[in-house]
Amino acid sequence: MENDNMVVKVGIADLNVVKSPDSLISYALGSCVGICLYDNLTKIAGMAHILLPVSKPDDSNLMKYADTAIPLLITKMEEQKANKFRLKAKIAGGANMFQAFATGNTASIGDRNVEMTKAVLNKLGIQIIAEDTGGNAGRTIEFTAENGILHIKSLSSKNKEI
Amino acid sequence: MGNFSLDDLNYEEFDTLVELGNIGIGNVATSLSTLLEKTINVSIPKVNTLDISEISDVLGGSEKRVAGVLFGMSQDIEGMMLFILEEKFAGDIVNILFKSDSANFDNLDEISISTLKEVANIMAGTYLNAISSMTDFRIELSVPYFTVDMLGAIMDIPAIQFGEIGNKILLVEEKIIEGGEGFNSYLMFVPTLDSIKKILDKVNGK
Repeated sequence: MENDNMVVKVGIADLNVVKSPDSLISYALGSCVGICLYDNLTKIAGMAHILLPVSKPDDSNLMKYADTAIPLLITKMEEQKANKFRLKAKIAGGANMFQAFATGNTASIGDRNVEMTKAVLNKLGIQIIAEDTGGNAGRTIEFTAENGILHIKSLSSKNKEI
Repeated sequence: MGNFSLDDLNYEEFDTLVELGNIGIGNVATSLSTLLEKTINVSIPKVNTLDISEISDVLGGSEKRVAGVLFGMSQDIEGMMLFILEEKFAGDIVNILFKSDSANFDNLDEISISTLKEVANIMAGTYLNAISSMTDFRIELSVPYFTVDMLGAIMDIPAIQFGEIGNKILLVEEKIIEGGEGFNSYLMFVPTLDSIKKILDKVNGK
């Protein structure tokens, strides 16, 4: 096993950074969004799995929210010698798992997660080069640091690579 | 009420939630047995607080394909109820009620989906009636919402509700076992934090 590439798991409200040839995986994203950043020169890959769009001042868990997780992910990647100006983003998730279910905070949360993710990346000047967002199906995503390819698995459609 | 957090729950309060779950699920088992004319066993409820990051690992495997039926709760108690039906159990319910043997996840038609929603509706209603009569709280259920997908993706919905207010989630989880065959379904009573506090205060006479 020691020659095998490592696959590092990213849970809900979690983030991680790996170098080639390792990869990152997030299982069963529903309304959550997986944000994948890649520096193609150093082959450093980062993934954040956010649950909610906007952080709250009294919550110290920065990895849970789009607006705080993305800057934190960039900092962690820079610590590994990735260059912020080379980072490109791929995003996936933000589904609406139960159509028309709209109680309190869960209403259209998937859409709001995707919108906020895009706004934050845009503000930080990071280009989104591919996305697979919205819809009604859960997704498992695996991001390979060797080549920056994002593999997407869903139960209701064919596997994709973006 | 604003300062109440899941970390404050003591042993006695966990017990109260288990007891409420017991009464609720006992009624559900009876109504389901009558409906399906089959023996239905239920587990002793498990009351768990979990870190949000662990939620997709509960109930055995985040990528497992399951049916989810979701209800909103409103009025005195707010939150949601979520049923997770494993593949075999969902198919069996449809087959028993239609006296067929062909239903499975790959060919659920509109009538099968309506049937599963209705069965879930009866179960949720029975469960909440029991909670209502013990607490005198009025609880209204929304219409059922249905999906078949990865378990972990469905569990995002209760995660959001708790994620807004903290980093832990409380699940009152009950296992329903059909005819001893071990095909499971889970019923999750997921009140908001404020509603949990309200229930505990009421039952413990505060």
